[in-house]
Amino acid sequence: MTYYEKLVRRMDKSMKTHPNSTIVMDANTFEVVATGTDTNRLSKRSKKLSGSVVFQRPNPNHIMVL
Amino acid sequence: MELIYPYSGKRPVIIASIEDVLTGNSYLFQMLLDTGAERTCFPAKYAAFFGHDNHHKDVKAHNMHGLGGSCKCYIHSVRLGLIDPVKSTAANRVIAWKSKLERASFANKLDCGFGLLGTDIMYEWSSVVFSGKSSGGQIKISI
Repeated sequence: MTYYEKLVRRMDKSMKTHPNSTIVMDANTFEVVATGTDTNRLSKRSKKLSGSVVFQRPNPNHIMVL
Repeated sequence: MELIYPYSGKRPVIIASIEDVLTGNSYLFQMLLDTGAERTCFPAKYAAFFGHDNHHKDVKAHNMHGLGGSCKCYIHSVRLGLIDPVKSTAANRVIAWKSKLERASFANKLDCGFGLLGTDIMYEWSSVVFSGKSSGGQIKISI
């Protein structure tokens, strides 16, 4: 499995664990380092990492038309 | 060069590299490939993650239009890159391609956990092919 595939899987798993939060993950270790809704606090945590990915689970009840 | 990205779920989303042009710092962010979007854009609340401040006096704003009507957008200096889905490792994320475009809009009314990768960037590619079902699939980008 490639790094990219692992990253997709770990992000999916984290979104199930934290369905209502924005999640900051260390992109090197796949460790979730912060969750919540305060984007200022989360962005400070994100900046301390050498590589980070920020995401949140889309609401499954929302039908999106973009 | 062809880059093939697997995705899960019903939306064709890739994990892209977003570079803050002002500092050179890079972050990973989910981007929905949206052929209906003329401009690549992000939810406004995520600007801080890329080192930008929507309310800084030098930030220019404009309006964009969509299903929800008109909304205010802040323009920030960020550049999107495609990470190589095969060669990248945890220690070394290989950037296979970088956009010529060095700015994107951050939209107030866009309320989701991903950005919209629009045709302003897609037109820099040779082609993009979607293949999948409601449970997932893959996206093939030729550059």
